[in-house]
Amino acid sequence: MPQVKIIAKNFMDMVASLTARDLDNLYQNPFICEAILRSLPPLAKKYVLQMLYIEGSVLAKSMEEWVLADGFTKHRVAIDRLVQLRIFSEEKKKETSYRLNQTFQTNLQKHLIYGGALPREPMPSNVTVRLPTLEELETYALGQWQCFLLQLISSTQAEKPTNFSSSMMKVFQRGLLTQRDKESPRLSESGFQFLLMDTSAQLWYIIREYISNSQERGVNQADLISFLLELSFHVSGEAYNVNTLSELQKNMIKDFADLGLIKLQQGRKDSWFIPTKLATSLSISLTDSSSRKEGFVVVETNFRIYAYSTSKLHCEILRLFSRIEYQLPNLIVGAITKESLYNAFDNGITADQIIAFLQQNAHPRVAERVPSVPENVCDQIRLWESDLNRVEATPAYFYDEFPSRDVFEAACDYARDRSGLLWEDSKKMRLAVKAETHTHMREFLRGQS
Amino acid sequence: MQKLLDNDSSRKSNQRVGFKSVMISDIRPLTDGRTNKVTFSLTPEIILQIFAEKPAVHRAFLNLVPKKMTEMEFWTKYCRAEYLNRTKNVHAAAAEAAEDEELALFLKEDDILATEVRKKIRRVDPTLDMEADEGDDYMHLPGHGIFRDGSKELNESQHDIYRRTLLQDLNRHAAVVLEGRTVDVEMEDNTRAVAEALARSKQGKEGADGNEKNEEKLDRVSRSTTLEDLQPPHSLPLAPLSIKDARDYFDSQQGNTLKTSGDPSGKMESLSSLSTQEAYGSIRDAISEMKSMVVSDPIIKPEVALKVFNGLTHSISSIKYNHGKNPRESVLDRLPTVTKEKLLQHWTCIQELLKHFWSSYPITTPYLYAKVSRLKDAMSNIYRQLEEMKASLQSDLRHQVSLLVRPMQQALDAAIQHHDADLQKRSAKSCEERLNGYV
Amino acid sequence: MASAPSKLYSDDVSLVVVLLDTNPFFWTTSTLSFSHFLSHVLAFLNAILTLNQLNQVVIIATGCNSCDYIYDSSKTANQSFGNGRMPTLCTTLLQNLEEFMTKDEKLGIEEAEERITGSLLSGSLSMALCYIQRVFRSGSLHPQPRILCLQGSPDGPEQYVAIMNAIFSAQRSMVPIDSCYIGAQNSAFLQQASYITGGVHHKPQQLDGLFQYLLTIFATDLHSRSFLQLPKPVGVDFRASCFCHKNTIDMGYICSVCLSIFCTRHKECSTCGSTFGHAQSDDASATNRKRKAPDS
Repeated sequence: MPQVKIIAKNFMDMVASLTARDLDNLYQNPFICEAILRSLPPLAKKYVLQMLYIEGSVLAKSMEEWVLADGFTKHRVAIDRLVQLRIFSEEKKKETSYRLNQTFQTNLQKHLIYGGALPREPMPSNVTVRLPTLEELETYALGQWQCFLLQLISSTQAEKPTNFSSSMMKVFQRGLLTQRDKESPRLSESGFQFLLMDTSAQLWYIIREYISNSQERGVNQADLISFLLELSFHVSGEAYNVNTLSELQKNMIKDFADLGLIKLQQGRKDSWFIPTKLATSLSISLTDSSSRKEGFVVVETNFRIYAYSTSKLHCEILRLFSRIEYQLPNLIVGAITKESLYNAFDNGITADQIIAFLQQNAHPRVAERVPSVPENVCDQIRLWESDLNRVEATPAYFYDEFPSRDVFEAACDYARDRSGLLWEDSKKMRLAVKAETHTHMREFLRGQS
Repeated sequence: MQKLLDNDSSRKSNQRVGFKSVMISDIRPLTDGRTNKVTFSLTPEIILQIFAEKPAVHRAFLNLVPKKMTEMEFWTKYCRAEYLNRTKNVHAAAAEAAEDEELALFLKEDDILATEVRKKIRRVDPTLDMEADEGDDYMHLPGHGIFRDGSKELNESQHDIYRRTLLQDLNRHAAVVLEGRTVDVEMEDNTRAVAEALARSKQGKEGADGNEKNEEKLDRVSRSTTLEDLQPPHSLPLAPLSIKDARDYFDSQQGNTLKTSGDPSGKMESLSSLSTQEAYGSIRDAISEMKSMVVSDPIIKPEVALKVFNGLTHSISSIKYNHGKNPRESVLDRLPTVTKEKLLQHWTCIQELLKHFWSSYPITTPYLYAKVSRLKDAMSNIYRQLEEMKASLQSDLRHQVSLLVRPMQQALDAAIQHHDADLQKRSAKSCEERLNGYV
Repeated sequence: MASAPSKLYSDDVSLVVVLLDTNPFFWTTSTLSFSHFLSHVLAFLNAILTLNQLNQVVIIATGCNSCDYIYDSSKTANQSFGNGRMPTLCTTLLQNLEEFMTKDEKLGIEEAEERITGSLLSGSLSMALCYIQRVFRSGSLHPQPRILCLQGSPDGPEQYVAIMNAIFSAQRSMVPIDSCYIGAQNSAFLQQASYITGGVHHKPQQLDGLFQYLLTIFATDLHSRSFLQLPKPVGVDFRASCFCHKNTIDMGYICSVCLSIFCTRHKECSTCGSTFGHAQSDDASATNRKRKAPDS
């Protein structure tokens, strides 16, 4: 879904937009070096590796030697990203050459040899009472996340409210909901697109909003980013003492717990946090390459949708473009109808988005088949969408009651010359012109009379 | 004609008449509009239907009539209860039920039906997983049920019981109609007899039902309660690997037993300067050395890294240069056209010569002998020309041309060698023959 | 293995199966010491694991008498890291390697008095392919596998058939075999393996820079390879070994039925049993002789 990236953007763009000083500080932390390395495009990773032990700069030309003709754009993207992140510094003397950031280089070198020690030790198991299993943790994380999403899209439906302040929630909703006058807020176009994204993309969107808003709350962006990245290097399912965190970080983890990134537990003396899969996969989802999860939707050729899901959220998402017919404990049955689709199109969802959603979330049994969504359904969805595009609206001005045929014809010619003529009826001497040519037209007609 | 009709009517009498599909609740009470009097009219047909559909009423009738009350009294009470039910006057119904215990019988839920339903549910094929009793009850869980266009129907809790009983009535009625009439209508004049006959027929049926085999049920349960199309494929189609002795393939080098000591190649000797034990020992030393010091830092010197990188880049660029921008372009295309054509011509020549050369063996006639020696001369001629061409080229092209020429020369070498060897053998043979035969 | 729904894969997630040559007879003669070699390889493996959280590394030791898995990152990943990834990797790998060497030595003594000096490349290749097959069948989402042979011992011509079979099955399952040859002569087997499977073959000129070679060439994931030019050998040695005496030959006899290769004339094919016709003359029946020459 390329269009999704428009709002999800890339987390690394944000890192790259940090100030040079912040960036250099960031690289002091070996974990961040590793996380940043992981987030790079594959080609950029290779460039960093081959420069790892080279002191001094390498000519841009000698790097280009390795690139095949097809890969040149990829090469450019990789180099640009590296320069943007200040991992490569460009030197222009006679010829362009690149040099690896020294802090970054030594940190990575050390990392390769001494290996990633963890940011903090997990707590011994005799202190922690009973840790949730990985599966429990995963359901907890997903539950937490879906609860958050529900609250995000309709504050009334959430079962238990998160402790995000309503102002924080407003920030999250900013791009996703629109409110007209006194109506209750509705999902905006990008809000719908947001719902159709996969979890990691959604998570990053929220995290991005969270980070960009951090300055208003008096939190340094770089601190926040470094803590998030650090978090992704913890082992999911292990308990870590909260006391090892700074005051600032203690505040952050409460918010992260609401997002399902971590689970907080309170023991007799200490309290600890347990990172979930969502947290540890943060550095994976940094890459903008495709990621997938197991789907749940079966679409039949008769336009019926069966969604094997217990999630209320999934139901809400399906409701965006289909008519939900009935719901069983683990199954949602709906139908794609013309009305339901028109409703979706009205809300700014495109046919391609819907089809992509159905394809991406196809149940594993149908996902094996090609195509995973029946062709007739895809075609019909597209046809219905194109139905709506048959009429194009152009703001226009309508003129009639011309004093004479000459004036009328002169007016027609004038409008035609400016390619502003939309319609003319020479019998009744009426014409319509584009709104932008109206002022010229008025001037012209004034001159005529 | 008359006969046909007769047949028809006689057949009719044999056929059991079923229940009407009209529901008993459709029997509307008559009101005269002026007073508050409400009149229900019950026919024997309706009574039978009531008995069939409402076993609790049926039981009450058997128990109460005529010991405690008359039939008339019974039906009056029943109709009063029905009336209360229908007007949905919850409070009035509750008040009256508190006073009159017989009336309460009709107002509360039919327990016989309930047990029957439970029994039925238990009889349901266990492979149908409907979570037992609750199968019908999703309506009452929030968030489930039928809804249209997103707007969920709101449940009005006070009408809940009526909606339910209506649904139950519908179901019950449908079941009774399907079951058919088990009692003949002839006995219509005596309601008591009808009730008793109905009770008898029911008992008989239950007996038969009770015998239903549990085994079959269990069998069905065991026969996979899973849905096949949602299961992964059972087993992957694997062809068993038939290796006579797996160790031959993976672990041992059986080839060496054949080779024995007959192959004193240079590499072996250089390797065998140490005994097996010493060799393994040195490796183990290296490992334990590694264990103690982990990895040396830095792994490689920056100068070496740069040198290696530059070396590789150089070789890459030379490949690029050699192969050109277009990967399909061959080495030949970068040679001067003259050289290229010459090379190609030589190549075809050599091919042709070799074909003729090898096909003339074994030499059986003097003609072939002459032919072979002529071919050999031609070949050595070309060989010389190839050498000359190589020497005449510029140094940067020479390497590539020599790469191209090498296989040609090797082929020629082999042929010439064979020719010489054959010649030698032949002369030796002829010598022998001469010695043996003529001298 | 992680539970299915949480398998998230991007384009460059790779599974690298590294075949480590542990032939002691080679290492005692090599200019590069085994401990240096190991440190380069260990750092390289860590680099691969660093590149992507989902990257996976499996190491198979290629001994003289046996082969065995000595490290699998997917198995150790779930364990507590304790004091970091690299030390864990080092200790497990070295521990397993030591055990393997002891076992291998014992096997050597039991086997025969005959000195075996090659290493069992065919065995480790087959093990690598089996492992990859298992990954392929584990589900629709899996990392992109490739094999990297770090070989120093000379080719064992007696393993020709087994190695070729392994190469062809790698080709069929689209698994590239990269090879880095650190011995004296170049290896015809590895050249062919990389050529046929579309992998990279390279013979480093400067052995103390092995790590740089590994990072620059062999750390490149399959996704990026479509955009890059990697070093290519100028020619590939296509010579075969005969089936009868396991000699490397460049001219020999080929069975017209099953394409088995022999260095001398036989009356009957030992592989498929077809009887060969008699040529007119015994000494010069070269009509079905075929050349295999180095290709350029």
